[in-house]
Amino acid sequence: MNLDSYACAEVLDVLDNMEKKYVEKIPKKFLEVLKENASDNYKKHIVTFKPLKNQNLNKETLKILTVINLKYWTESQEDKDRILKSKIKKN
Amino acid sequence: MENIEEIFKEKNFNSETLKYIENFLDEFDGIFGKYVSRDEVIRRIKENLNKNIGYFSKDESNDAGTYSSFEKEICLREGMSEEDNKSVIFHEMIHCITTRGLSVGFDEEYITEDLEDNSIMAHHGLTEGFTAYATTIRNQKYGLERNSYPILQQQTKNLIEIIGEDEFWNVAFNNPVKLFDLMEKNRLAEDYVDVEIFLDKFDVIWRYERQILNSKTTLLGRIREDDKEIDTPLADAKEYIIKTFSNALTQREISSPAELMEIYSKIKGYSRQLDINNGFPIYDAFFVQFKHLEEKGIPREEILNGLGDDAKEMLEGKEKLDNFLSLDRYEQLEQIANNPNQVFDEVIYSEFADYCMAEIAKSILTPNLPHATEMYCMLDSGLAKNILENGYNLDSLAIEFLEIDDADEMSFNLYNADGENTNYLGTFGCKDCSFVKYTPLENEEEREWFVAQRPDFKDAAFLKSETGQYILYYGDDKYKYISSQGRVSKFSEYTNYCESPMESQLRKVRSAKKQYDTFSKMGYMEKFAERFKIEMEEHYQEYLKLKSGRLITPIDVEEATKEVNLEEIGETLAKFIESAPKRKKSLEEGINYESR
Repeated sequence: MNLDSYACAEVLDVLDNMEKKYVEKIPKKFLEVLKENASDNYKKHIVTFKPLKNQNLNKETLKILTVINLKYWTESQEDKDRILKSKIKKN
Repeated sequence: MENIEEIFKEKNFNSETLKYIENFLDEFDGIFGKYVSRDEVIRRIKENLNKNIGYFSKDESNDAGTYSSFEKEICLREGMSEEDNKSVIFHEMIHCITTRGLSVGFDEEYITEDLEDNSIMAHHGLTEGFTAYATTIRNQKYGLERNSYPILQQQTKNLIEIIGEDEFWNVAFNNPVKLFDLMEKNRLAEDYVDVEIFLDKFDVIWRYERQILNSKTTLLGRIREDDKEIDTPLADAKEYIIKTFSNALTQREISSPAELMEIYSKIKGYSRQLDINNGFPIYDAFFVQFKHLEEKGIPREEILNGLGDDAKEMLEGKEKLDNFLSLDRYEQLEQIANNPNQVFDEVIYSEFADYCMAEIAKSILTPNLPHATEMYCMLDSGLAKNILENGYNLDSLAIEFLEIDDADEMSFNLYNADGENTNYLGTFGCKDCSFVKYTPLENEEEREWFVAQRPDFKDAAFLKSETGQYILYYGDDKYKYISSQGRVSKFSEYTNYCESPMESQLRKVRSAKKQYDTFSKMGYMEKFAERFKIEMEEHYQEYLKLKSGRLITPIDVEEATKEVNLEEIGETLAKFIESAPKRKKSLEEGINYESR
């Protein structure tokens, strides 16, 4: 079970289009794993003028982004609970 | 009865000069006597005229007459009729009696009196404008159809209408330094910098009308090809003058739809006189005053009923455009790409079509995109829809024209070229000169046909950028066909020079800061410094807006990841740990996911 190299590259592509302050919240080691596993053939395509949800992100990319969002960007417990609740419902 | 010879005996003027002076005194007294007394006019002539009327030949100048405050002399062109001579003398005499030291009329140093370099910034424009207008009033009285500087005169007349006749002539004849106060009082200027800029615009028109005179063409005629460089400043000057007048009308107290209609008609008159159509902004006073009336409690319907059809249509046109522009950029793009005809019919106010298109382009385009009109055509032809659906970056579109000529016959290659990736999106052409329809050219033969159409065609690729138009020349007459790949690589190379919107905004901030630093060091330029400071802050705010508004945020991520469920998150975490065995411990710490 390996990390999807395209997804790792795509996550980095998304991060490239975010403010530095959000990227800095992610531990360096986590980012290193992404970089080490990222595909060399990936062609950047993420744009900022178009909603992210409409950019056909890879399913694996979405999963990694969910982890990052929950762990590093969602600060209050209340928000974390809200997001988790929505995920449980879908289960 | 005064004896003119006696009055000017110390000057030793000849009888012809005395005759013209006496004639001028009578004529001036009859028209403008209430602003300057006859005795005062005589005193000024004594002070500012030392020589007899002189003459110059047609070959020497196209002017009908001249006054020199240095020589204190009036000269006329030889061979004019007596009636013309009198009219020209009236004009030159007004220069003579409005001279103080070497400054004639509004060619005043009052504008620069606060400056330390003592430079005199002459403003011939308004000086010639009011002198020509005063002369026209005189000519009309004596049934002479003679009219110099028509545009300047008209604008002086507009200025006088706003300022008030008595006040203006008093200032023009007696106290030009007070022009600033008058303009400020009438909301035509906020500070002396505004006055200076306003007078500069009159100067531009003056230079243009001088040029017309010197090129011996009629006003309706075309100016010489090599004089075209004045066109842009002239258009700017016209626009500035109308905006200034319009701004003054914004401040006028009105209380009825009829007065609002009067404002509309006035601005329409200005724009017709100056022959410009620069869209809604010059009608700002009309829109602002419409709101004022609504705020005063007059029902909208009642106001609209009091307006003419064209005023009503313009108001509706402005509101439709504003509504469209209030949508976010992506919504605008989608609307245009999906239904261009509807946008064209409903949002573009036909009288200001160019302006509306430019505003929409400004809203949806970034600096390195092609020309606004071309972009609109691409949107209209459905190309943009295709681009959007394929997820290409609209911000990085690069256009390469294969053929450009005056008949609107052109084709272009379109690339998505952001400096890192370059995608050839296709070749599009407009074969039948139809203005708005570009269709994809399906095969290479057609592409070659376009290039081969012009034997003198120098292969050039164009790339628009904020700082100007990059033009790449490669290939020559012998080499008509350039491969797509060759062009693509050139584009990649050149797009590296293109600025992103944020970079472009930052450059503007830096440029304004540089100006601010320069002017703030010069003690007497605080007003300029202040302006650049404001400009700098505005650009910086815009930059911040771009920075925050255009980047992806965690909210976007949350929105995009809605469908991911808990189980999938667990799988992902497991993969992470597996992919980094050496860092297992630290990763587990890092991804200590509470709800596992």
